[in-house]
Amino acid sequence: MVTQEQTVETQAPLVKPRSFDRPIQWGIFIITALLVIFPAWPILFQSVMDKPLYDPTRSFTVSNFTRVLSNGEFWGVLLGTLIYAVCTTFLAVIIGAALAILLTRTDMPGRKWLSIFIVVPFYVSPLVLAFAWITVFGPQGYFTNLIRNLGLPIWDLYSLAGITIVTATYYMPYAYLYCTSTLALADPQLEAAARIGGAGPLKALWSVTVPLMRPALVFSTLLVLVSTIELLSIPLVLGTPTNINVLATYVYTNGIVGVRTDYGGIAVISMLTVLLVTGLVALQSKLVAQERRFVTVGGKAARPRLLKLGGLRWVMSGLVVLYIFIAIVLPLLGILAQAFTSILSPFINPLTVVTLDNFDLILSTPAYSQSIINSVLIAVIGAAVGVLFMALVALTVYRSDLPGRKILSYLALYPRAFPGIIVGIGFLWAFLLIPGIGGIRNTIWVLALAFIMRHLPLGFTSISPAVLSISPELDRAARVSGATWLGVARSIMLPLLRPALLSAYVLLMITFLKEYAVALFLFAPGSQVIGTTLIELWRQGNGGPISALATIQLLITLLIVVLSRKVLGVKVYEG
Amino acid sequence: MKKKYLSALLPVLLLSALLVACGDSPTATTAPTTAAATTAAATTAKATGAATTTAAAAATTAASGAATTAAAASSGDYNKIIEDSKKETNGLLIYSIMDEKNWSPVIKGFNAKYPWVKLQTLNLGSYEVFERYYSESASNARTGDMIITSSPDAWQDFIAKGELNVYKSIEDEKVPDWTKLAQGVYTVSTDPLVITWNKPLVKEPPKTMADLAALVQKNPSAFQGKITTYDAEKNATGFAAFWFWIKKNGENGWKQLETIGQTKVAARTSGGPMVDANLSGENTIGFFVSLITVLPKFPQAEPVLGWTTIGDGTPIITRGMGITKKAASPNSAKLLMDYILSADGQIAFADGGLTAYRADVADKAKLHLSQVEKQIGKDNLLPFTFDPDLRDQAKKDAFVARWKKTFGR
Repeated sequence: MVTQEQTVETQAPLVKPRSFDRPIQWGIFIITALLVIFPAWPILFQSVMDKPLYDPTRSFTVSNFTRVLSNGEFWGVLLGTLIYAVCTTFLAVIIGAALAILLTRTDMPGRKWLSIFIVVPFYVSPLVLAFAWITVFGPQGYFTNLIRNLGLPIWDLYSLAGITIVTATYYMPYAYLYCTSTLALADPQLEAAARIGGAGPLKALWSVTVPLMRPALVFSTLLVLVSTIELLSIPLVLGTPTNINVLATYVYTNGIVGVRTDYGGIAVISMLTVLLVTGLVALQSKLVAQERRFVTVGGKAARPRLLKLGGLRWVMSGLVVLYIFIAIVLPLLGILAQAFTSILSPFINPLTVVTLDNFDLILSTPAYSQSIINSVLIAVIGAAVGVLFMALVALTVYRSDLPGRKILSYLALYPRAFPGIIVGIGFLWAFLLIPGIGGIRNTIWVLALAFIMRHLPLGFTSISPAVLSISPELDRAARVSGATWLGVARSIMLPLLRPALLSAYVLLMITFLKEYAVALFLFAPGSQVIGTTLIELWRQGNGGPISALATIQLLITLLIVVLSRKVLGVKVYEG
Repeated sequence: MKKKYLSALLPVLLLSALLVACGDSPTATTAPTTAAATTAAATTAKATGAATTTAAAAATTAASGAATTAAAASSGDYNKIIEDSKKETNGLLIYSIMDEKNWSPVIKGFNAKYPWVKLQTLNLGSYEVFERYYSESASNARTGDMIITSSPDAWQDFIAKGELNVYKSIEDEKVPDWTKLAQGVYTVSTDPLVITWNKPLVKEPPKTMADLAALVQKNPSAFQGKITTYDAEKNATGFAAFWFWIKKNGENGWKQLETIGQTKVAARTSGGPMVDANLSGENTIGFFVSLITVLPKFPQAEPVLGWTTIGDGTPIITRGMGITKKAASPNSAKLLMDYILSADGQIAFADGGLTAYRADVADKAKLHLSQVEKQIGKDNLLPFTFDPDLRDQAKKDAFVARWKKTFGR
């Protein structure tokens, strides 16, 4: 690999003398490749080994592949996972896009303050969210009992449909955020032109605005799909009691906690997931192939005129309020109820068991309070480094003529295909096997690095639609005037991308605050994060302290969002 | 079009090229080993494995009284351990399955006695503790000095691999023989798995698994989806609980489980949600529910939550502890092991929420195994022991397969 790149690198100066662009672009390519391969090679290596990598008696085998592929149960689980992932993605993207249009492009009443709630489920760890849904919508949940007492039919949360709905509400903000940031950039003249041409407001929306959202829809579809395939905690909490298995829980069962630790098997499944993702990315690049079609930032943009909904205003508003109340507010209340009580039972008046003990436990245990500080540090600093790097990756893919840029766009999406725990193990092994870097192994910066790697797809997919919407004429003009690629990136692209970069930054901070799977094998005494503390408490079954910690995490996240809005001018939840 | 597919293939090729490059040397050296060799055979065949004797000893459960070289007989020897511990500058690192709350009184008590030891705990899953140790020790990185976990199968593999640093505690004679899981592996706490129920919804709670089966038999439809337990497939504790309960109750036990299994039992992977489901009434009865997740709910849960030890076999989680071969601070680890086994240490862990078992602290510990024993008799205590059958993958697989069939999963 190295030799191949070096030969290209030596050619680069011939194409553009006096410019460092090529080396920088190759540098970005190589760093991305290393970042992906670094934790991935132990997994690939493991897939052809009969024993764990640490076992010196291991030997080459293909039996991992034959064992997994000939297992009927595996194919059943795979089919179930695809149904689950496709349905979840469909729901999440439809709801997200509809909310984005309603809240940024119409005169729906109350949209200012409604938009504050939309993204909130995304701030919470999915593990905690799943428990909150049980508290409210489980077989004996508070809301379920209310409906049952009214004599109405009730639902089964522990079903594939239940898991799909919970996951969709959890990932819906991806679609919502991507669509709003695209809509915010869109040139209102396009809609205005349609109106002048005689189109009604709805027609203009449908034939101009919606097609313009296509890159955002494609990228968020891709991200939700890949994230759902990998998501462990919601199917684990809601599916296990009734034995509904998806790929992530199957891997977890067979590889991590089950009565056998089948490293070879999980490695094979990870690789199959990577193949699946490769297919999806190929599809995506086909869908946004004609990149020019989505250019909307040409010249100066003015605030778009809002679509008048007329009599539908209040109906729409009511529907959104209903959605927010059921899918967002009630689960949040479930978390708060757990956090502020010692036990929760319909047979006991909650007011008699109100307590602050759960918060006290979290804040007075040094290891737990340290984990909160660590998480904030990683989120603030790690995400800043990450987002800059991811922006450069996106610019290299869409705004350079680097021969490897297509490959780079695949590499940037792979990290999400590996199960998080596996990425953690891969990082651990890689750190252990490469001498000389042991010094940083037990610091939080290892976690920051792993988080950046793992969420490369998030940053990449959230910045890409914005890059695609900026006309290449702008950088061509600068290039003609003698600017280098890096110069264009610094003085034209990055400033234009500022809103997208800042919202990507906030997205990454929020995500880093919740991350746990990758950290499980990487954290050390003193480098605990909120996510690992949540898992530690969950293993012991401490529902109250878990919810208390989740509440603290939620407050920190809200603080970050509000601060970034005030200081940086980012609007995470509004176009 | 073709280019696109090529570009998709390229990274895969690059990755595999790197893989071959990195994986070359270890593969070459181990290639002669036949893949078909069983793990047991591989261990004995391994010329470097210094621990074949240990493995044999472990396979036949704890041989009490067997002399160990590491035993510290006289107080003079013990002073040497203390002095050597002062020279250990890397701190003491424990990989355990407990949480900070369990540890806190123990760390306090231990540091009052040995203030120079910087004790740090990393709280992981029951198999992760070993997996992390193996990965780190294979590359000579800093790793855990002591491991505490409740998975008897993984412990036996650990011993067979020669990774245990066998130390005979100065408290050896004070603890019951059955809690010595193997030479050098002692028990931290003995936590029972019990039957729980929702008091308003269950008027005649079962006292045994036979009771529960009879209750279901009488009216299976009333219990559909109303019973919860540990998942034996997805959880190590769940697996061991069913394994040792069946070990005692045999075919008759399977029959009872089959009766219970008709009711779409909600099998879970963590104790907390089982108790929550009992409190809400989602599941009215739970069996093999960890008592240490039940007790913290009291006294508030008194009107709703009931629990009892299981008359025909109460599985007991034995949290084994042992010092690792690659320990950087073995002497500090010895001091901690002795402290945990001492009367003070047992009381401290009981304060942290675990179940003490040393006979001489029966009146002083908050929660003590003797309270369980009084109710059901010694024969019905089913501790997780180092059953050699647990090293037989085929037997384990068959067991899980039957469990899944029994519970319709």
